[in-house]
Amino acid sequence: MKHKHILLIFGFISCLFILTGCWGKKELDELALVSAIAIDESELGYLVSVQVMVPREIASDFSDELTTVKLFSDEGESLFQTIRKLTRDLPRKSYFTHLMAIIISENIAKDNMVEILDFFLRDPEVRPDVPIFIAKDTLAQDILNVLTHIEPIPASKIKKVGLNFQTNYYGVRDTTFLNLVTSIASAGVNPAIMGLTVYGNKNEGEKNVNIQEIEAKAAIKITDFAIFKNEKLIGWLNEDESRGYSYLIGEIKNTIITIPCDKNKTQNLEITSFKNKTKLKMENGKPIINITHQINSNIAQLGCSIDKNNYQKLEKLLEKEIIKDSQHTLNVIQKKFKSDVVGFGELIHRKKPVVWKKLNQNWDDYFVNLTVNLSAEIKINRPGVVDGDVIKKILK
Amino acid sequence: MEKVKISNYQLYTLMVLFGLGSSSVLGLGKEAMQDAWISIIIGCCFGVIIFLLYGMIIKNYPDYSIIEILNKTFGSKLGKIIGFIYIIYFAFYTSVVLRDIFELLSLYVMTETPIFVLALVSIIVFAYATFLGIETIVRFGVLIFVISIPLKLLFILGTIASGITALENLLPVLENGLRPVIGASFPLITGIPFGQMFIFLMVLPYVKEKEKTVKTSIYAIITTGIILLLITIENIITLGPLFIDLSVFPTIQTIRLVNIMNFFQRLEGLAVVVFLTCGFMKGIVYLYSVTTGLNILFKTKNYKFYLIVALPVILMCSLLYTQNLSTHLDLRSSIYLQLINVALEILLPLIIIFIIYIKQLKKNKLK
Amino acid sequence: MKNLRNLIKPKTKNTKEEIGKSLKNNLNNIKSILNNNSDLIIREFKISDNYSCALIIIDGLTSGDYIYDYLLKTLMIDIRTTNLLNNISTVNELFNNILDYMITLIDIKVSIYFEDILDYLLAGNSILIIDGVAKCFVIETKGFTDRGVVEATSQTVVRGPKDSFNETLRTNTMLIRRRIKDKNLCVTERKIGTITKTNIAILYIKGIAKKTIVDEVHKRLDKINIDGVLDSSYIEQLIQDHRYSVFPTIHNTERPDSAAGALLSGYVAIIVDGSPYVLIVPCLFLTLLQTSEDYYHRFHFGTFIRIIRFIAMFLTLLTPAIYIAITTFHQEMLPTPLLINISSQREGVPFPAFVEALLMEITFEILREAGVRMPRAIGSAVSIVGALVLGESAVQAGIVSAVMVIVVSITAISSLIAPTYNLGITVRLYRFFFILLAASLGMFGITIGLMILGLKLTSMKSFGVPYLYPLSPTNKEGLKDSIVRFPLWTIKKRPNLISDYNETRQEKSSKKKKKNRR
Repeated sequence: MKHKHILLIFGFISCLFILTGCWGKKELDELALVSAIAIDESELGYLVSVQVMVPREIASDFSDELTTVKLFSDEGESLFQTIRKLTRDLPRKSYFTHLMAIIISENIAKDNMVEILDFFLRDPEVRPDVPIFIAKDTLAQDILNVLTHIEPIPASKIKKVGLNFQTNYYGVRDTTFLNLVTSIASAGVNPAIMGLTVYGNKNEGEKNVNIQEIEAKAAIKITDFAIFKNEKLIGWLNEDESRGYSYLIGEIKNTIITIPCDKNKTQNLEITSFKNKTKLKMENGKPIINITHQINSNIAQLGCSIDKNNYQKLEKLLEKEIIKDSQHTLNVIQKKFKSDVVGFGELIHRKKPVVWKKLNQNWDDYFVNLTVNLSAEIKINRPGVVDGDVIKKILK
Repeated sequence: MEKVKISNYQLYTLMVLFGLGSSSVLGLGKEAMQDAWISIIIGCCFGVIIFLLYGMIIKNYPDYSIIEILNKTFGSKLGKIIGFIYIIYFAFYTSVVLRDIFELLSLYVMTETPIFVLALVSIIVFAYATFLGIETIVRFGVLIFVISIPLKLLFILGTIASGITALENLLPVLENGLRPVIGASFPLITGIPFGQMFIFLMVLPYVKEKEKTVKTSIYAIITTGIILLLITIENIITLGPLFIDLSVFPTIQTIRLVNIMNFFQRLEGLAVVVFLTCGFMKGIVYLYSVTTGLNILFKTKNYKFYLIVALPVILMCSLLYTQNLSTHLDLRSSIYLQLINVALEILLPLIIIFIIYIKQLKKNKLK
Repeated sequence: MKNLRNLIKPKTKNTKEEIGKSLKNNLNNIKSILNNNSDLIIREFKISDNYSCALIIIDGLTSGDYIYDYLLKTLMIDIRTTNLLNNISTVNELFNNILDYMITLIDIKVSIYFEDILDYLLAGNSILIIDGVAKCFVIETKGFTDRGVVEATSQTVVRGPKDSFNETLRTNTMLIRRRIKDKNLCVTERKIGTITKTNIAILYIKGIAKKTIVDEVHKRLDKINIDGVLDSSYIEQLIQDHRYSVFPTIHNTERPDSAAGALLSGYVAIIVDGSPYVLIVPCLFLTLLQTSEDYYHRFHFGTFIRIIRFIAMFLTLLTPAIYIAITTFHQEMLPTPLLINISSQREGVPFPAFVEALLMEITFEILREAGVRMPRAIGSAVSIVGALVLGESAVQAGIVSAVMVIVVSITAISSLIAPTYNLGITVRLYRFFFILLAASLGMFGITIGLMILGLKLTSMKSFGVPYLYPLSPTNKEGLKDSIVRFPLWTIKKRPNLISDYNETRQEKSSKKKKKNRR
């Protein structure tokens, strides 16, 4: 009786081996770990470039003679076909689970992003929280062609720069392609994502020289924000507008705000917390949105002297500055782009679903004339580690 | 019937595991969008009511499984036919559970392994557990319960800890009124997970303290409801209703987003495995019911013999009853299946209660 | 005294050869049965001129002091100073008087069968035969050398009693008796082994141990029919429940304190002469992960160390399997920097991860076995080869990856933490099973393996007690002393499946006393 147990278990194990063999087995040294993918337009359809990590170079302590990543690119009719086409050059199977950045060129974003997003959504290897960027004024491929230091993997640099920018400067709501898809899918909000560009000499960027010298010949930098209408890119917000956009969506964790006070002189305040209090009111059946920026800040650097015991003047200045920026951006997106990237529609949808049902159909037209009132509540908490009017005292 | 007794605690754990089964990875009440959680509450309430109905049957036949009860109420011939229909129904659901398991596996964990292998290996575990008997199954259930439920809750907490949740995703509440919400809760009531509790009419006769069984079962249903509610709310606030609608297994998508300290990330492989254990328990309960059901129906001594018959049938059925994942997922909301569910899980028990009532009336008159 | 005069009753009713009245015939008989063995010593002497006697011993098994001081001296010299010899008329009277007045040793039996006499003789007793009487004395004069009570070697503790069982049955029962001075502690002895005739003692506390378990032990021991029992493990293998299961279903200990603790909880102990390992039944899975020291430390540490042990067991079982599963099936599960690290090390390693793991694990097992078997003097050679060649050079040569060495080391160290050696062996064997599963089905394979293992463990029973008790079936009181250890004053009851008569350990009043338990 008990023999049966043993036979059963042995049979089971041998079955496993006979049946499964090596299906689905992929040794680490059979994989090309893709760190970033860039998608450009080409005559055939797509120009796809994948940046493949070279683990030995990344992990090694010395040897700067070989690059940490390699770029493989090819052209094809569809995205997936092109990725597979890369095997003409790639000795290993491309593996996307550790993808750190998706970079899409401006042209593709203007035409047909949906096809690309569909691929990324379906593929189980690609994680939904991969950051997505638009290449501005350059080919997406060029961005992957720049070597970086500090972060030896360029894709990792791109990802972390995005994060650092978001937490210590200002940011967008849609950073990952999951956010992007959700924003495209919902009627009451349009996506806005970060743009990337290459500064400096593009041709030098791919050489090891780029990381061997203190000053890089070429560098990847975050630039303006790309504005979409539904799934199509329609334009860019410049630096000031981007900042205003971040104020509007409240996507600021810690940043610095500069207020001009005198000729060529500025007052600088570090924002330690930034919250938006958004209220929806109905007047005469029309929705009115009130946004109040609630800001806590510290003094970071002063160009002009202030009254030590009276920060109110400075608070007023800051309030004016912030509202000015937000108002400007609001005008731009309402009048110039006519695209609700802030998500006022979604706000109405959530708070007043009945009203939204009426507006839903032609929201884009309605949005242009939506009344949005801006205000700010500012609090300056600390003067830093020194107190008093430093400039005055030093100059005296 | 084996001559063993199981305690109420063991019944409770088995029912919760069964209820969570494969349903915790599927997006329940997807049709209700951000109101899916309301559907679950409604489903849970109806689940309790239906189980009270079963309680009325058990009260009259505490020591008999549903197959025997059918024999007693409908007479041996008709009872046998209906009993056989039930067994086929159970067998069908065994293969649905099996399908759930290997589809989930081949989508996230074992992408390149043939599904036949996954199905075969899984069903061997079902068979091994069934072979060892109900006592081992319930004891094993307790172990799985203690391990997998806290882990599931941890995964849920993980999304909160990674700061990727947005409570406003739950708004607006009842956007399109109650109708779609109730519509979405209907498959929950008749099928997965609350309607399927019907299978426990095969297990309840083993329970030691009969007077507490219904109470325990209802506690189990409510616990199941609460855990599913938590999971659903978590999915909604992390993914948003739109993305849930797109996803095949939303819970796994949610867990993919967990990232704590840049180290506790990429947990979905682990999560699939943890969620699978409940699915396994569900399959085991079904398979056990099929084999013991056949045993009772044909009045033989050892139910284990029927494993040889049931295994290939269920295996083939799970591989062949639907062509692809899409149709498999649509099955749950298919109107035909729901009609069958209603007929077998609600109407027939009602008829049984009616017959019992008439028989009692007759008895009283004779006295 | 009267009892003693009764003859030892024959165990079976088979006709046995009785000894005769003639001393010469008897001695010749014994000599021929024992094939004139050279360690057989027969001392013939006379108590007075009328009565000739013979004292028979096996050299080396008896204590010289006993024989010189209490047998030969009294019978040959001291007897003359008394007036005992004057009052007797028959040889039978002499026989009774010697028993009553002369022999100052405690354990004396009277026997008439050759077979019994020889058994006793070979067990270290002295036989005194008097010419003309068809009976003889069997006198307990055992005195062979043993190891003495020394410190435990395989189940050591930092805090707690240091003594351990040794190879002598009597010493072992003594060690337990010294701890449990209760009238209800029962010691029943029997002989097993048709040739070795090994003494086996079954110990339990009446009123605490479950009667069904005690009966079951006796029943299973009755069934044994083997020529020799050289160690308690023979008995273990012959009476265990699941004969083919890799998991031990009988616990063993070399520590008298844990044996006493087990007896107090209602377990049954089986002591085998010649083995320092005492068997304890029934065996629960969790007790294999517990040591007596858990109770000697305060409960915080006791709990902590038990959890560590539990984790270590899983590490031993699963680390190589998980490594294989992740690096060959689920690379997506690793955080990127870790993946790059492992990947860079795997680069250029000629074996697939599965072969690499198997190779290293087997190498380590060989190393470990070599460590146990090798002569002490060449120990350093093995450690040099093991640590330097396998660890350092293999990685530098690029034959194995450094991560694999770490994985093997983790497995090795955590396998050493198992408090009972036989659980360690089990886990080490199952590790290979999991490596195979991981290599063929990845994480899914590991899950399947764990489920099958779990089902197997839950279905197992040891002497009628479920193996995973008190985890499943769950017992509230039992859980207080399982993976965690509650403070002693909270553990008020014995687990009810092991002891159902007398569940209460302590009354409420002993709350503050913190009595030591095991």
